[in-house]
Parts: sequence; structure tokens; C-alpha cells
Amino acid sequence: MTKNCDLPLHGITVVVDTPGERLYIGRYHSENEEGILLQDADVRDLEPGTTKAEYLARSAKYGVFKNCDRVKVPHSEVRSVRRLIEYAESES
Amino acid sequence: MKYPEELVKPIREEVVRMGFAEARTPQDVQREIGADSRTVLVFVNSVCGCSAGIARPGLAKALAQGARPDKLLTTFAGVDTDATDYVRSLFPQYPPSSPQAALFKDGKVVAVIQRHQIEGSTADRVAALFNTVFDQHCAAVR
Repeated sequence: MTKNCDLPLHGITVVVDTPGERLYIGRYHSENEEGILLQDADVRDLEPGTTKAEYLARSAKYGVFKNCDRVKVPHSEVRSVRRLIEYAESES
Repeated sequence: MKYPEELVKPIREEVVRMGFAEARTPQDVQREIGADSRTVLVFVNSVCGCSAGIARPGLAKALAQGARPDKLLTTFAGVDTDATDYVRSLFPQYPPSSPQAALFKDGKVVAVIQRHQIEGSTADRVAALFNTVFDQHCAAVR
């Protein structure tokens, strides 16, 4: 049985993108048949006028604006899972 | 709940050996971060694995070469909570993270390195990240 700490993304801050306007940003803990468990997460329904790219670039620069201790993201909502740092914009 | 002192003692000592002064109270922080021309790096230490395996070794490497801050200060997240909260109140646009490092110049924050820039990385890459910040804001050691 795989332990949580052996999962490649365990402990890493990730972005779970969804088909809709919601983003989940948080520390990947584990995953099972129900979904992906994130800790210290920002569950964000974007306001009109804010794009996902803008919000993710801001989060990659400043950090995670936590509004939820733990959240399980159902697999049906998952479009992609990427590390938050991948959204950082080059400052040069 | 605060971490027990016997757990954090060796972690504190590791950064003190690097030359960091400990700030255990908000007053300790206030004394060291003033509106003068010095650069002050504040490292928010933590018990987590990415602090032990990546952030602290990376910081040690970065401080051993090239430009470096005039002063080094450390607080301990989950232990020196008042001091840590006070430091974080100086850069409210950045949410709390542990570990975390903030560079101050003339009493104002000029750069913050957050946990998500450290976790999953390597000590060498984090050292390069610190060196880039130091090169930009700190004078080279002669």
C-alpha cells in the first residue's frame, strides 16, 4: 500500500483546475476514489473580470490565500493538477 | 499548541550557527528592523521537512557566497508566535507560510520567499533563489 508521504505531490502546493470558474489551490495531501484531498486551501470562485491566469499568477507571486483547512475535490471536478510554482511569471 | 522546546532547540541552533539572531518577541523584531539603510533578512523557521531538507541548507549555501544581508534575524513559526505574527504583519499582502523569508531594506519589505517556492525544490535551487534576491538588494561582501 502506498503511503501518503510516498505520493509525488504529497506536501506540495498545487492548483486543481476545474471546467468551471472554480479553482482549488492548496497543499496536496492524498487521493482516493472520492477525490483529491487538499490542506490549507484556497477554494476560489473567480469574480467577474478576473481570469484564472491572473489569479494564479498572483497566487504564485504572493502565496495561498487560505480559506479552508481541508477540502476534498471530487475527480469529476478535476480538469488538471499542476504545481502552483508553474504559474509564476518571470520577473525579468 | 506550541511545539515543545526540546524539539525545536536543535532547529533553532542550526540557524543561529548560520549567523541568525533569534527574535522571540515583537519587540525583538522592532529593535532590528528600522528605517535605516541596512538590509535585514528574516527567516521564519519551521519544523517541517521542506525547512529542514531544502530551506535551511539552501539558505546556508546562499549566505556563504556573494552578496548577503547586513543582518540576519529568525523567528520560529508555531513557537515564537507573537514575534512571527508581528513579522508577518509587516508584509500583509503575503499570506502566512512556513517556512518563509522576507528581506527588508530601509525598514520596508523588498522580497518574500514563500513555502511554495521551496517545497519540492532542492537546496541548490533555493540557494540560487536567495542569491538572486541578495544580488538585487544587498551589497557584496568585501
